Amino acid sequence: MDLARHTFESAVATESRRLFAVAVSITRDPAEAEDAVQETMVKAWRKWDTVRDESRRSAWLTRICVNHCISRKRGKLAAWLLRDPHAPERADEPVAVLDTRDPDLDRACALLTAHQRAVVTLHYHYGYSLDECADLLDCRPGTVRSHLHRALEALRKELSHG
Amino acid sequence: MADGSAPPVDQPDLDSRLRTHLDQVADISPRPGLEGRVLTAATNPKRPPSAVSLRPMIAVLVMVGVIAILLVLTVSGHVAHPPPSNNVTHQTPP
Repeated sequence: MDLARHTFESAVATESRRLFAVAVSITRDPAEAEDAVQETMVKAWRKWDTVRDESRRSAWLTRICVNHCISRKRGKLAAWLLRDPHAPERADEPVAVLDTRDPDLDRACALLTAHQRAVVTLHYHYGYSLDECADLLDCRPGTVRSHLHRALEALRKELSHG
Repeated sequence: MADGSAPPVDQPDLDSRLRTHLDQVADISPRPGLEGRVLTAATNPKRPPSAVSLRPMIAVLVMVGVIAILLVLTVSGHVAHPPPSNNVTHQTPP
């Protein structure tokens, strides 16, 4: 087995679960999150040789996954047009509320935009700085700051209304 | 509170609630075998060329669009109709 294939398999084994957690926080749908991980790895495998520094691969995969999750709504029409007409329909699994112990906060999170959820997840759960978030999201730090500010404001307002 | 509204949420309280909530979301598990499915999809792509299903759809969309535009123009009177015969003025040459 060649080295690229070996390192890729190893990355799939170690990163898939982490990427799924990132994706489910943003999409709020486990089925969509699985699709996001799959698309991330499909894209990554095509350019696997271009990232030789293994220490950067994790951040690179996160970036692909996050941007896929954010752009998935824009891509739904394209996905519908591009879908394989012979492929079986996937059973829809609507997940309005995730199974957590804070349903009020979960409902409030559901009202955020995908960008806002991505910033909140990356900053609060994974501990990325706002500059690192900007790098992962391909935008300016000011934009990330604005997303975070608006997200917290929306959450606070929603939770205050009860 | 006396007026029935919930108390305002403080920033430290919201921060800790968010972290706890995100921990729980991150604990949601994928269906078993995610790694295998991902590896198969990435290294054995068997998807048909996307253009196969895209081209006929684009053609249909364009045709529907053209018909819709023509209908709208016709209804709104932008398409030239022949003038009624009783309004036709003939100029006789001198």
